[in-house]
Amino acid sequence: MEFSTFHSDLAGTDIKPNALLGKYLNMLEADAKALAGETMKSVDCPACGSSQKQAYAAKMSFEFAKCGSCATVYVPKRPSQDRLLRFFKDSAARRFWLQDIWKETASVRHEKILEPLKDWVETFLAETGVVGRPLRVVELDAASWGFWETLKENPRLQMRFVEPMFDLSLQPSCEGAVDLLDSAGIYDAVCLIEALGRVENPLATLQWASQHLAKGGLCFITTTLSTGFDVLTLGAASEAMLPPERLSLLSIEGMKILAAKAGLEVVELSTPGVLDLQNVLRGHRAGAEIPPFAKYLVETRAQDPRFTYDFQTFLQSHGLSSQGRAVLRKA
Amino acid sequence: MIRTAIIGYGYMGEIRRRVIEAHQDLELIMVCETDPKRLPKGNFAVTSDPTDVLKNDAELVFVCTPNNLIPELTVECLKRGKHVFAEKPPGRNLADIEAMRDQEKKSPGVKLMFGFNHRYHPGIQRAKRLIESGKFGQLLWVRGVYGKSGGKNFPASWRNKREVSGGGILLDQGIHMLDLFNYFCGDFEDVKAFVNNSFWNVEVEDNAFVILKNKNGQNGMLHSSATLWKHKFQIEIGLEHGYLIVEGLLSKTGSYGRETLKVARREFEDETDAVGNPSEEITYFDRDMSWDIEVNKIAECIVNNTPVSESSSDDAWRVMRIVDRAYKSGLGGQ
Ligand SMILES: [Zn+2]
Repeated sequence: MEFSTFHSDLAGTDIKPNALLGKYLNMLEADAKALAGETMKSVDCPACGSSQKQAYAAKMSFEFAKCGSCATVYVPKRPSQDRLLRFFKDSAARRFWLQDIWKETASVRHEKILEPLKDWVETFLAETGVVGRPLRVVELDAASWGFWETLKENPRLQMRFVEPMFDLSLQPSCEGAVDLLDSAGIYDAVCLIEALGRVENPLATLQWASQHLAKGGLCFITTTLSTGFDVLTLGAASEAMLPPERLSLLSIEGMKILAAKAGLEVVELSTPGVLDLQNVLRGHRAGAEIPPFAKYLVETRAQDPRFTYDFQTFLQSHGLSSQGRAVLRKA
Repeated sequence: MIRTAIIGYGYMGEIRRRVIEAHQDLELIMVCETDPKRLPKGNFAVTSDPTDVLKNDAELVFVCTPNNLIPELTVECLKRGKHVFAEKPPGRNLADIEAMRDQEKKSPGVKLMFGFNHRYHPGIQRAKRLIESGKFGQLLWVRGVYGKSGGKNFPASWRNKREVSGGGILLDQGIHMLDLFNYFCGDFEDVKAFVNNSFWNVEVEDNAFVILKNKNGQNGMLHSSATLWKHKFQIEIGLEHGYLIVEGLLSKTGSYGRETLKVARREFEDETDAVGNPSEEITYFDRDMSWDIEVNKIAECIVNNTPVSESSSDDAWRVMRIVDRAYKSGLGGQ
């Protein structure tokens, strides 16, 4: 299994401007509170399936637990996929996110997140050895990141996307959309950009990918991990737990278990995140209790860009950043 | 199934056996090894006489012998219509590879491929794809270091007997790096070299410094050495918009270090304050499929009856021409 380090001058506030984010979180809290009052579905660890768990954090009227076996952090009482879909269609917070924050941050997101993701996907697709026909790629877009629109720029790719979570009518263009349940399509690649943490059942989603991949086809995943530096340091105060938008934070170990369960081989598993120190600093400034070592790092050392670069590179080199990415292959 | 035989069951023969036995289209029917102590046991015939392989109905023969035996065995196989996968180096000198090529031309439809497996290492393949993507612009130069420390038994090895090997570390190991230079850049016509025997006191060189130039104006530089006390494999590739470095090489012993690819983009003063010291992104590899990939390539060529397009006799001849020119230009202990 290979892994990579990554460098970027991306700042957390580039994609989550403070003023807009505050408004969004308030709106989401109100929406989440209403949803949390309904009957929920009880689930065991979405990665390893263990029922052993400890209470971990309370967020937006939802409870998070930590798996006693693989350290995945998840909401054990969660809405069904259908209910999530309806929630996101009706959520005022989500609409605000798509219509305000999304537009405000579109260009920086394209340049600093989607373009590097495109490079990553294209590099691996070039190694599949498929020649003489377009590569069939589908994005299962649970986060409305619209990565498929960036990939569409590559004329060698025949893009399709599936929107399991959100209202298609909010998308600027729905060309190429396929229906998740009806689709019998076979693809050379399935992209799950920030999807696994958001869907009700990550294993079912990955199995869907596995069933729809051609032999040798690749599944590209990005997802926030519970075993990253900022998530572990901030604990219950980490903003990465954001129900009902994000219901599962897989551990890096849980990620491997999930891939094996879906019958997919792990080709790459990396943690190329660049925001761990920034996130800890932000949490600390917002009043989160953090250990003395972390406090010293973010208060005294993190102003030096060379230090930040070296520290993030260390985290990345050892699978310790919270931004995870994986390439899985169907044997 | 393609009936397959191996001649020579040393270090390479063992590797080939593993890959052949795992391949869906290949069936190992015979292994030939002149040292009876090394003859393996398995679901195939064994012999210590190479003519047994020539006479039997093997369709594909892996020639895994010392360098001096490769040309004759390869030619004899080709004459009998057998496809050949031969180890590198492709003989001891230019005349050897030319003899094999002559026979190949007289045996149309028969496939001949050479074992330049370094092309198929994951770091090299990734670098190749990145260059082909065009994102880094034109390739300007390549610079390689490939070397090992020899070892206690090094002077006694057949690799250091000129009559058997034809040359020293440049022909044995440096040839992989020169093949990679050709793989990335195309032919190099101008070759200058210093070729020395600086430590081991053997019949052939233990160090070679080679500089190269081609018609595109690209330059290459190689240090090939049997006196690198820390084993090293490193190829740096300079491009218009950045650079790539493959360092370390996945191998059985791991002595060359973990295989990595460093990728960096050029940064000038007006673009960033990191001038001359750009951020490098590093990919760490842990699976070497190079042996499987190259054997699969010849199997595909046979099954589909397509010409050998990579690690072909043409590639072998081009790299042997560089080695030949390096030895001819070589000043020093020769
Ligand atoms: Zn678990």
